[in-house]
Amino acid sequence: MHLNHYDLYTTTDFCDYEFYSKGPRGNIKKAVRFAKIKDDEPVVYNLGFGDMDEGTGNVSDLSVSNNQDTKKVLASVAFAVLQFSNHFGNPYVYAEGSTPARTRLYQMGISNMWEVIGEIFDVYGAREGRWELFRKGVNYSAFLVKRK
Amino acid sequence: MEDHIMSVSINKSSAKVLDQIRVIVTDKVKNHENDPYFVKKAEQAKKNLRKLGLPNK
Repeated sequence: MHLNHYDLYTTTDFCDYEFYSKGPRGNIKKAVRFAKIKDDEPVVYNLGFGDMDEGTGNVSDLSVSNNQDTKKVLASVAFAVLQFSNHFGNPYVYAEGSTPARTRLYQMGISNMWEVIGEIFDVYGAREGRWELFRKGVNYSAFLVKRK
Repeated sequence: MEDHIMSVSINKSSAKVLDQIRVIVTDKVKNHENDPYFVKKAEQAKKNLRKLGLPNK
């Protein structure tokens, strides 16, 4: 299975990534950031992702850009996770949406790419206050991934 | 700084997946360490992770 994705640009410390979503609404710059949220082993980073306002440089996920390329955008984010994990020695990466709808979007992205993601990552979903191995069709409030 | 391209190969014979991720390393990407959105997201994530802990393996 080949995942269609956008070219990724990253900083020299490999914590920030940018790419352009291209579609009917034009070119929309997307920003991805990995921020450490747990210092002691095993280390955990948070995955943040949103649209970048090129004028101000600020990031937000409040607007729905709807550039009709959701799958390609989510695949690009997944590849950023993969590249980050390669560089930082395989930490845990945590992700949750700012709203339940965005969390469901991430869930759909994981499900759609499961053929690839499931082979490369251990994926956990948070449900009822605890982690369980990710299953399609189950609603989770957050996700945790780690390279196998 | 000149941009340079890194490639990451993944070869998982069991899944017959072979892909190359092209990542361009550049000083033109903004460091978002202090972006209010990412700071808030990280704080919320830290709080939730403290409640959830990590998976039992």
